[in-house]
Amino acid sequence: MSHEHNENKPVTNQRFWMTLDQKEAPEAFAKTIPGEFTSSPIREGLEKDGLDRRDFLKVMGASAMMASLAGCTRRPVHKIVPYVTNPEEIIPGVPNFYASACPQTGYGLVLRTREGRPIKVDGNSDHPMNRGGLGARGQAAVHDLYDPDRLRAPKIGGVDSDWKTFDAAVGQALASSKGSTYLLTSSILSPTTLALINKYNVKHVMVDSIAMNNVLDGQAQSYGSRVFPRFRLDRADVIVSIGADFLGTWGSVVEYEGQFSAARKLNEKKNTLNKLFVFEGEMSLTGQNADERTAVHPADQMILGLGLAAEVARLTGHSSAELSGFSAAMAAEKTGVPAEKIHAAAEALAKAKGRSLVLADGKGKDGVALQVLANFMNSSLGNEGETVDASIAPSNQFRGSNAELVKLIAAMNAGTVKTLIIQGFNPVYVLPEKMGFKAALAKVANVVYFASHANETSAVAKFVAAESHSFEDWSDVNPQKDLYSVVQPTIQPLWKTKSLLGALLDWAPAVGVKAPANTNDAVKATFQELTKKHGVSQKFQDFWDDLLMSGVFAPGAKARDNKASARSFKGEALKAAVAVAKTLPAKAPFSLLLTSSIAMADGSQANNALLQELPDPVSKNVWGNYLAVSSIDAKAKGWEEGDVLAVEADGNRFELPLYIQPGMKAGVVAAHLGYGRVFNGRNGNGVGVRLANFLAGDQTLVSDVKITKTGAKSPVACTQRHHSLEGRDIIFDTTLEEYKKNPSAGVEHSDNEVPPTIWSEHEYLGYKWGMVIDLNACTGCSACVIACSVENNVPAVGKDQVLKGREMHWLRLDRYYSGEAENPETTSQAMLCQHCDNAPCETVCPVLATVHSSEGLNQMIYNRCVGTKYCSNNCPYKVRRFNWYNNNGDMNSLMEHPLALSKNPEVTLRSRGVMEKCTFCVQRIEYGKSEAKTAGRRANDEDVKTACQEACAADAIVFGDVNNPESKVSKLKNSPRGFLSLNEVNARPAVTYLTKVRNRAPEKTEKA
Amino acid sequence: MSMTMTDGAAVQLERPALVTGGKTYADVTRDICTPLESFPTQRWYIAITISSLVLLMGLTAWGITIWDGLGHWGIQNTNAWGADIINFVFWIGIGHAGTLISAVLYLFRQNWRTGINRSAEAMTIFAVICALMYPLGHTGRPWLACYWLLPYPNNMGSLWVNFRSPLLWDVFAVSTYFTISAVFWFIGLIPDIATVRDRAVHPVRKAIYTVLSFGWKGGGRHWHHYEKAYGLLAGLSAPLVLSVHTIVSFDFAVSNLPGWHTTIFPPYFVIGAIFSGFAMVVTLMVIAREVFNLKNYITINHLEAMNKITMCTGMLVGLAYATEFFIAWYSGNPYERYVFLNRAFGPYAWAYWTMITCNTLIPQIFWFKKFRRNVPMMFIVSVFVNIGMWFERFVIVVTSLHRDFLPSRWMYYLPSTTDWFITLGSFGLFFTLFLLFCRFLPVVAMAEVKSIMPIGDKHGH
Repeated sequence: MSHEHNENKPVTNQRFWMTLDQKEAPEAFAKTIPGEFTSSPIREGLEKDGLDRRDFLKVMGASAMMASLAGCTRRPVHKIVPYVTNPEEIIPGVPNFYASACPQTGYGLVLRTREGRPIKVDGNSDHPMNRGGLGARGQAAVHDLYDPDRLRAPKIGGVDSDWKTFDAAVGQALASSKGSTYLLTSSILSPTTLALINKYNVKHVMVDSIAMNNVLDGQAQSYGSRVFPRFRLDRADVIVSIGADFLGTWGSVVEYEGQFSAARKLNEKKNTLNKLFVFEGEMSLTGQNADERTAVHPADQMILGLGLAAEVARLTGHSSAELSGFSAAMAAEKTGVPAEKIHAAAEALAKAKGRSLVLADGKGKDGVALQVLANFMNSSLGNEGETVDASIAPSNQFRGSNAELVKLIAAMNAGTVKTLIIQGFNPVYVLPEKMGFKAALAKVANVVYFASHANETSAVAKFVAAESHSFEDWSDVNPQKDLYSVVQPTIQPLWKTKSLLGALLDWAPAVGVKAPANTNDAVKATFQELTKKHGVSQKFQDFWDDLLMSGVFAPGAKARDNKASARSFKGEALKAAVAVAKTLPAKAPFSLLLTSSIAMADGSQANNALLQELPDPVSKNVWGNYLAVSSIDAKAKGWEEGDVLAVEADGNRFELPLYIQPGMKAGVVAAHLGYGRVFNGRNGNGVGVRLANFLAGDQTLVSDVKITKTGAKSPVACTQRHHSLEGRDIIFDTTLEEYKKNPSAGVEHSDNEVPPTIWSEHEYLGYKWGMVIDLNACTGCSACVIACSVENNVPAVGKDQVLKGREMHWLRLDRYYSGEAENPETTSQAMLCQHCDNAPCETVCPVLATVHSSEGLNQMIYNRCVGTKYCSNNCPYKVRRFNWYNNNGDMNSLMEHPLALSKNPEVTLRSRGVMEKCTFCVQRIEYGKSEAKTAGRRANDEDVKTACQEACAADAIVFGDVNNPESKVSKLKNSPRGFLSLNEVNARPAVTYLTKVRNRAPEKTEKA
Repeated sequence: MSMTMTDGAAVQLERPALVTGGKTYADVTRDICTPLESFPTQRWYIAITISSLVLLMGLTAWGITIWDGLGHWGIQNTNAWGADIINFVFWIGIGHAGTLISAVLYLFRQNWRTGINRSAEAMTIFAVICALMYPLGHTGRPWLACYWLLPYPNNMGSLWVNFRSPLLWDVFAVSTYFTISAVFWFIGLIPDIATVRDRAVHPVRKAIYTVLSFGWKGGGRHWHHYEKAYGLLAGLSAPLVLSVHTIVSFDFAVSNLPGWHTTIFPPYFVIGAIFSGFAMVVTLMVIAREVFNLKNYITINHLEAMNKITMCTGMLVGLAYATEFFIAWYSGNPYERYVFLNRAFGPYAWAYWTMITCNTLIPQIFWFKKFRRNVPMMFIVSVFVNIGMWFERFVIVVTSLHRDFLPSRWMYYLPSTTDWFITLGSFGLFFTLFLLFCRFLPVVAMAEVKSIMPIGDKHGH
């Protein structure tokens, strides 16, 4: 065999053969040899063209590796850099709290910020007005800050501009229109701003978009000074309201709510309640909280007031000739209100001389006259100075004047207004067209409008100043005499915006006004003067530092509880009022009453989805207004819920779906203002119908309207579709008389009667969290609902989803009616996860995504949840909420900037397909526990407060450690009024409710 | 075996033959195999086009749901279960008849089962496939639910499933049922597949059926093993007939919801399942014997027997309805009383009375032999029974949830368009699978039918 064996050469001339093939056809066989052992790498390597197997494998391996490496390459480098100079106060992950104030109401606020962004706002508990409480709209304000629809830069003639150009242009306009510059604002509470406006020497007109003219004018007529007194409900044992919704939308609501509810508390030491009589035509939140509510037509309020005043005068010995023609019997005859109801109210008032209060809100032409009657009664009863304070700390919150506005419009029409600066409200939307404001605006050369959003007024304003949110700039407030707070910014303005104060400071040089350089200096200067005025001995810097921490400067604090000086009532005012009563129009078959809604108020926050989706505390309707109609009228006319009705009066017309509202007076239909925005943003536009055109001055009552059924149907999105208890043991109520006999009255299942269980019970060795909710203190204002949503990143889902029953609220207020449909009694029950010890949800989850903690919390493990929804079916309280869609942006994109900034970083955003529910604010519990641990003690009531508890102006919610016998909650758990909702289901909830105790005669007590 | 005797003819009546038309073994093989071997008929094409279009509709709806979220369905926070669970229970119920017919009747040596057991079993498997879509697809995150519901070992410490949850029992019950039914069905198919294999001409066809027939040669040992395995599996399946629907009923009975929390549920569900399953078998058999010309194998006697069972179970279901009402009253529990009164007279009274009419009244017609043996009549009744049984599940799921403990949460529920598409789609899937089955596998168990034919001994000895 050749040693130079080459496999390419045919193997021939061989003597030896291997196979018969080789022997017989050596040539053909030779050709087969190279391919026989194809696996030989050497043989293949010698092929010239193409890739041999080894190389192929090499290349493939390399390319696979490179491909996988390419997959692992670092993405473009985005450097993350920690704070180079660490801000002194910011520790990542730890919240900072700043005291501030609400510029509209003057309430003290505490803002919680995380890494430099405000994420939650609550009331400042040191503030004497709101005392830690804050209403729903205030709670939702944080979401206004991060609203992506906010104006991001000033506009001139509808075109985005920058502040340099804008300031120059406005400065020029101001300089050229000296003497003919007007300023139209809502009531300004900031002393710094007011002082600066004063220096500007412009004509300043203030208008409240929810007008309080009647009160102010009534005060002026009765006592000579146009002042909004401080009503002191905490001192009143008997309160009579004639149409004044002081717990909902009338006056300084949060302040009143705190005072009112404090008097609704019952314990071992206190077994008295105040007594609230309400006479009203629509069902208001105040009416829902009344001990004795009487439905009366709003057009009859004056007659009713006269009857009541006559009785009060008779009982207090103040009878006057003007009232001689009136009596309860006469009022009863004219209004249909039973005379005994009027007698009862008058007698209760007379019995509580100096400790009672009459509040009134006239809806029609009798607005001022009714105020005079209330003032007369308060003076007769000796309430002046006691429950009505016009000297120690009268309010500055409402200073608007409709008369001034009318004059301004006349001036605008006359062409004497060259420059008009508008701030604080949206006149084109709020004012009825017939006032002619919009038309007059066209005659003003330069309209400068401060707006946070593009809106109805900004659309017709030449200069639109993008306005800062109150969390973004310095200011101050003086809501009551001798009560001041600083409005502290907690974030740099997100966009190119300025506040009114900031802009006025910047424009000062143009008009030759000497002013501080910036808002901070200006506010400081104000307080420097105040300290001098009030003789504060502290060094100013120390005072200032303290002020920023406490949030309140109240030089008059000590005097606040004193008796105020009693003004003398002017007799001629009563005469005029009685005269007005005679001019009132006759009642028509249907009257329309325009009311403010608790969520929307004047409509300025219409783009806030949380507020749009806040169930109205009375009707539980969301996303839009509706026509509230009495069941009697609906039955008589054959109208059904959801029927679209057309309402016409004086050439104006609107269409709204009908909602049958228990408690409505027959002959009256009511609808909310504040809806029907068109220029507001993605959430507010087109929701509901604008009704402002039906307003006439201060009158919210349209005495004669024509109502027709259009035949169309439009569903009203209601979060509670059934309003009766069906005789179930969900809530219990009783009367004061029965309560005095037996503190457990009304509770049919005592807390102690716990049914037996087959489960081994949980052991709680450390903390055991629990809650007590006082049904008697809760007014149903719904601030807690918004507080919960903001704290826990609970999304709003929109009208279509609410109609499908998919609202996400972790905490809701169930509202149950009892008694007759025409005038029912109401109980609100805050319903949230009950954190049951025998939680029905826990046993049925197949993946253990909801489990019990060692501290008694029922925990939802979002990332374990697969969404079988069985837990929700098995929850007797139906407090679990499923994410039907992705509520936080769509599948592939994050939510729009800057919405993400509004989210609480301590609470997971839930993806679609998982269940969620109240956690008892576990993030707050953990924070409080760790704070306490650092301090080396056990967490106490002050360390841990849930968001709902903190928001509650009525202090109806108490949360804490049940294992600690000293905690407020464990003491309240033993209250004889305590009961567990649905006790017989034996879920053993951690939430105890306290009975509702009504201050009225017991014979009416009957469960619906 | 048939008990007639030639010499005792005077005293003993002849039992009607189970296979009519004087068929021979060869006839049986030819009759059953011909549809598989010939070109599909136009009727088959029309049927499969319709059913697969309906299936496609359902798949689209499923796709939208999985892509976008469960929000496309009608369910809400009050009624967190709706059409999804109704359909699940409905299909599981349908699936019961197959196992009952093949396993239980086999164990009781009811020879008349042979004509229908194959298609009944196939129906079972397809119904369970339809049912299985729902418990998985109705979860919020099915991509996780598909394995998180199984107790698989993992490195996350104590992360485990909750053995207290009836939903987990369901996972085991239904998956066991599906596995056993599928194996039982397949074992039963082997001798027949071998027959098809032996007749196959095309090599590909032959190859496929060769693989599927597991090398069946029909030898004595094969038959011996086959009979043993079949008997064992029948023994295993029989208790499953009871257990599966018992456990499905636990999904409701173990909860604390009035209207669900009822001890009668296990027997009530099992009877209901058999009732609906038999009705579905009748529906399908009536069509199949018409379309595939199987009237000699699925005789009117078969159908009459089925109708008797349908009527009997229908009355049992009616008894269950009555018992529920009695217990609700007798318990004195106001929530329970309310739920039942609300069922009959509340906003869903229409659903309740639909159920009562279809399930308890209409089947009463079978008291008359004339109607029991009337094919159009029984077809109509069987369809009504299935409508009624769908509504039974609707009544159970929806009327209990929509008004539970807290009146403030009461709401009305109606399935959405997507729900209806998905519901229809499951029928599309079911009929598509059934039509494919009719094309590719013998719809009558040839081997078993032959075993009960009186060939060579006209009296069956």
